[in-house]
Amino acid sequence: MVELYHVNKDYGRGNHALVDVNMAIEKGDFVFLTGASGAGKTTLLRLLFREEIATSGKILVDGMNVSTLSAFRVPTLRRRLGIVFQDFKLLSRRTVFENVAMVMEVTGVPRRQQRVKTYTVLEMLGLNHRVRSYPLELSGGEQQRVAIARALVNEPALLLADEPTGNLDPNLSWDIMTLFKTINIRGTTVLVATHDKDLITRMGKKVLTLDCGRLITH
Amino acid sequence: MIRHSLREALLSLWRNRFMNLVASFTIAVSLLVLGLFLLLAHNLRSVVAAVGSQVTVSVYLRGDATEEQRDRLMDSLRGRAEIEGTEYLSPQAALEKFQRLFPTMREVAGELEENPLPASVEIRIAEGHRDPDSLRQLAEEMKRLPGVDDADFDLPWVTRLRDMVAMARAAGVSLGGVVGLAAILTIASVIRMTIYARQQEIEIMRLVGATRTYIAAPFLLESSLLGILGGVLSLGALYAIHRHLAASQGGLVPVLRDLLTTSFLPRSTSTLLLLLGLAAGALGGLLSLRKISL
Ligand SMILES: Nc1ncnc2c1ncn2[C@@H]1O[C@H](COP(=O)(O)OP(=O)(O)O)[C@@H](O)[C@H]1O
Ligand SMILES: [Mg+2]
Repeated sequence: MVELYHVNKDYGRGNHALVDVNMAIEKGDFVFLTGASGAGKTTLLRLLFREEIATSGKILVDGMNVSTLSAFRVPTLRRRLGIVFQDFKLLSRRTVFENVAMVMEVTGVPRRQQRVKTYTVLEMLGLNHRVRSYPLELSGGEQQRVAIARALVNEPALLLADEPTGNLDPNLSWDIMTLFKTINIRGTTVLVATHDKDLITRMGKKVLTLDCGRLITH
Repeated sequence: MIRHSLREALLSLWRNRFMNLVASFTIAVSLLVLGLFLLLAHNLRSVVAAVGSQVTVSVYLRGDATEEQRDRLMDSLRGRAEIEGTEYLSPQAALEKFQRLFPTMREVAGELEENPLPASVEIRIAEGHRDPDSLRQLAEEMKRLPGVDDADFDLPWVTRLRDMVAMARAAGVSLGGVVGLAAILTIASVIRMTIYARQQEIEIMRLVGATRTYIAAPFLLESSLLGILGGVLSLGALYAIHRHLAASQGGLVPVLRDLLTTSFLPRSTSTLLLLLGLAAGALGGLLSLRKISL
């Protein structure tokens, strides 16, 4: 599902965010990406959905060669992914419902189907009472769950989550992880970047560790 | 997609209604300038068409010209493309015409013992040959015929009028063009501001897989609507000016007023103004989208 070959990413001179990263994530895997703050977790995820372009190396995501992908094909790549951003990236002028339905709206899914799927996923995340609220009326944890709902609603082939439990209390974190496990069992490949060691330990899944941009093998 | 674009465009138009109105006004002003000159040109052209039939070459026959010479002259004029028609004026007919044209001189003419006016042939010139060169050439040709005393032509301010039509059009197009360019740039910067204001939203849409077209369409639609609105405003203003001048007296040079009030722009020209508005708006939109990464 995800393959990286000798991937380097420099932000300007001497700022090596990723150094010679080689890795593979199989279809159906559930993988944690961990490492200290500044280790390059976010950078790696951003390379996968083509928000950043690798300085060198080759990246394959769901069969698409991200390194050579034309700008024209980027939307095609992103529509196969579900992305939970560290800073949520919710539209403040849109309701919770609209924020989630938006990802189907841009791909032309019929209205009725949008409604059904949006309500289903919001219910799964315990947000059914917040459907008509605006993001700024929500707590950090609730906003995070809206971001997760939006990432899941399209039943993506690959879920990328950047610190998805950063704002949640341990109980809620565990619930979210359980939810991720469920959608993983249903076939979605999951890659979660987190520095929450407890969570990783409790989940007992595959772990990739970054240290100053280098992948450490266990 | 269409519904989404329309909704977004209308919402945005309403949210920035003040700036949008300013942008539409600039388009309207440029089209109004163009429209005024086109209206002038349009009415001038109908004047030209009306007066054009007065373009003639007069051939004066000698007093001793024979009937045969006259017939030969008339024959030589038949069937020529540049000639619309001919009219023979006997000295008697010429005198009557003179008296009709100058009633105050009637008596003077009547007291003359002998009719001083020569017989003449008036040649009406066909459309497309009413330029000084063709007229001069025809007059020279006539002069060389036997029995012909003299030939001359008058260009009743028609050629000058025609130049004026061309000038009015050119002035309209260049002035309107300059103001139009400013209008396009205004629209572009207004739309660009809208885009900047929604930069975060655009970024998020991109991240969830929206295509460039999907993101750009509402902005293009918005700028096009602004352009059409400008076109409608300019036509409205032009019509208001047209009607107001027709109803009022004085103020303007009478000739100018006539040229603005005789008739309004034909439908094709009005449509052209609207389309120009649309084009200016769309162009402004494209210009604003060009530099912004979507
Ligand atoms: N847009 C950027 N411009 C310049 N440097 C960046 C940028 N994004 C990240 N970095 C740098 O790259 C390194 C890795 O950052 P990041 O991927 O955000 O790490 P993590 O997500 O593991 O905390 C850091 O040194 C950070 O300062
Ligand atoms: Mg990070």
